[in-house]
Amino acid sequence: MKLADLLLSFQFTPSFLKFITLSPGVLAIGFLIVVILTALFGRIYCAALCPLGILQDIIFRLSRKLRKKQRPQYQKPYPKIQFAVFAVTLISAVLGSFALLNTLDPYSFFGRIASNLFEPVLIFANNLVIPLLEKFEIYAHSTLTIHHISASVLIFNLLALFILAAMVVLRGRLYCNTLCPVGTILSVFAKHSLIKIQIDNPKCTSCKKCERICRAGCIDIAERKVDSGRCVACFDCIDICPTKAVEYKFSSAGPAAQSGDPRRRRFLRYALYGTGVLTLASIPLRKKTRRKLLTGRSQPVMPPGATDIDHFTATCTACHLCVSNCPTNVIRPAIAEYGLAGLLQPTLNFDNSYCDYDCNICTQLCPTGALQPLMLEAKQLTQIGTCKLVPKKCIVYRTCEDCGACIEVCPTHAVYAIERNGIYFPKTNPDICIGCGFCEKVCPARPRAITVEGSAIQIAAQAPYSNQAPVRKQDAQPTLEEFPF
Amino acid sequence: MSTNEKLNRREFFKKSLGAGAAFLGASMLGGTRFAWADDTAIAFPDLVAVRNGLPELMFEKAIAAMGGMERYVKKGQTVVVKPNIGWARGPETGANTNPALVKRIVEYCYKAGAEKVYVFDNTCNDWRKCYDLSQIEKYAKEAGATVAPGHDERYYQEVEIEGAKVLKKTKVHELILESDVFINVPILKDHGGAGITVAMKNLMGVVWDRGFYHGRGLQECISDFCLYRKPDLNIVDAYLVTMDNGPQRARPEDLSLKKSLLISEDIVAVDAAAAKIFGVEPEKIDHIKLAYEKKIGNIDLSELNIKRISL
Repeated sequence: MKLADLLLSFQFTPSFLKFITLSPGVLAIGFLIVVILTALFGRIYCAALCPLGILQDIIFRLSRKLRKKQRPQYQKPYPKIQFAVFAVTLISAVLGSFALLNTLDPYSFFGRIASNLFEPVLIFANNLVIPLLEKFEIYAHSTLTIHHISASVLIFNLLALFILAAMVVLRGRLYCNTLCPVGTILSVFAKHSLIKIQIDNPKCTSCKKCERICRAGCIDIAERKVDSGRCVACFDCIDICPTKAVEYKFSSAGPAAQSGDPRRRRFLRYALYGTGVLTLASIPLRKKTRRKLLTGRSQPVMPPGATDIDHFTATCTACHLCVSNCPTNVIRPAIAEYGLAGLLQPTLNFDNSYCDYDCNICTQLCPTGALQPLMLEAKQLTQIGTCKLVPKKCIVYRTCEDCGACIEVCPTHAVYAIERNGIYFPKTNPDICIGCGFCEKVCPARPRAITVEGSAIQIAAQAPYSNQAPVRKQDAQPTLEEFPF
Repeated sequence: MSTNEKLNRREFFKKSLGAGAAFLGASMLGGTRFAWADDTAIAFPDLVAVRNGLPELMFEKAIAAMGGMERYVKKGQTVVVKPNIGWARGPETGANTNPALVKRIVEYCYKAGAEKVYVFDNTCNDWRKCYDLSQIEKYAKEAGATVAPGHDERYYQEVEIEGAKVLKKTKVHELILESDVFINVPILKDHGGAGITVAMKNLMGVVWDRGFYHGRGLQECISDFCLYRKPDLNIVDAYLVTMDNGPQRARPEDLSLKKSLLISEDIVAVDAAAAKIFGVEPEKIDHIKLAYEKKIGNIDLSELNIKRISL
């Protein structure tokens, strides 16, 4: 876990979000370090630290091996697209909707692919091996449950991976230089970085080996230029140059490039205004969906530490680190629960799982601070929702048969038993309920007689038993002095 | 001495020698049990109740009074020991069976000649946490048991239960289906659904779909299961008893140190005795009454041969 934490602290967007929301704990300056490194050395983050970058490189290598005929060459940049995407992302984020940022942020993108696509495959493979081990009575490892993934989440992620892979196979690191918001920010610093990859004119023989190997398509041998803004600092070009003409050295001063055609500049200006207006127009629409969300039939259950729905949906990047680390797999990506703005952000689903009373893992590892870290004792008093019992749906109230499933599992005894004529009826005490959902999970009635309603603001519950109904039995004989038979 | 007497003495010697030779021959060939009186004739108790000792020590006294573990476990057999490992709670909370007791039982099984002793449960909380925090896995392994998982539907096979009122079929763990000897080791607790949980309720941990019991008639299903396979031996841990707010996360003041242990082959009788220790009449607990009506065992303790041991 330690190495992952270290790498996590340098992920740009999570660190940035943690910084601006002033989350407690270690000061999140990982993103600043990345910016400084980029300004000095170029986009080494993109080749070495970014998990999506590494995934793209793997796909790139595979596609090269399989399609030997393809000879990638210099690609022209798409600054208009890059700028437009970034502008819309930035403006919508500033105005409160992180949907686009969450979708495009490379760390979150990778997190969702890993958690929703790779992890089930790995667990499936594990579950194939375990029965073989058990044949030899080796119980050291066990089968794991593949957590439920809804069809829409699966399709969304498959589509995203497919589009990404297509971009890589056709154009290398195209994503990094058009859609990725981190890439756009870092390209500004890398364009004028202190140390750059450059081509030494005299030594170059125009063999084009470097241009062909460049995964970002940013080397133009015709101009003997390396576009530092798009270069991801993988250093393949340096390795492959037979005359050592490609060098990584302090940048030599060159004439500042003209931005080009004034008509183009005007077009860009209008494009910017257009997206700005469109985004502003979407504010009243967003407010409407937010209102429907909060006053609608039910408030979704947020993981503990979410504090309140505004903070949570504004800070979460839907990276799914909590989803994949949840030991009971109760945290699932939402589709419509948070509205479109909260697409794929985590919510709790109690259909066949519950939030373990003795666990606070999600609060400890959220990289953006959307879930504030909570000590276990604090988490055990955090009310993420409250239980609601509908007696006319409950088997005990309807048929006078014992059940007790909800009473049995409640960790705070917010659901407890009242005896009447030898039957044990469930009763609820929502003040001490923390919304863990165990009661909802085990209720055998369909539709369920007891469910959890999410809390828009996670307040502190009262302590377990604090307003307990009177003790049902007095123990007449606390120690056994003689046998009662 | 008359001729008759002389003849009688000769007869006596001849017959004795003959019997002796036959006996020697029989013992060399493999068994003299035919010569001993039947078990029932020696009258081992129907139920043994021990009080005022540590769980594992009370068990030693109890099993001795029952005639020794050798009565239940023969050489080369496989044994499944089924404690209550339902909850991710430590031994001091009284939510699971005492681990030292489980360890001692496993040791006695091996001493009686068992080939393999398995320990498992279909837990309510996460199985890894339950097995670890209850310390039952650790202690059972120290005694050489194979601690097996019960969390995967793969391990269970469907069986039909003849004569069942509600639980006509259910999926049962393969260890129950395949082991020679089945030893049930519950802990006595208050239960907010069933009333109390003892030996019969503990058997909910050998089936896959516990939700079925809760949804279709808890008390009826608990008693129905015993029509399928009754444990060969029931050992009830009544050392630290949860008297209220059970079966888990009761307050410390809800626990009572009853310091007792019960053993019986009769699952209904042992539940009835446990109910009395708990302070409730057995007839008041529906699944005990239903099981008695289904002729699974005897609810009337006055009809039983009970050995009481106070340490």
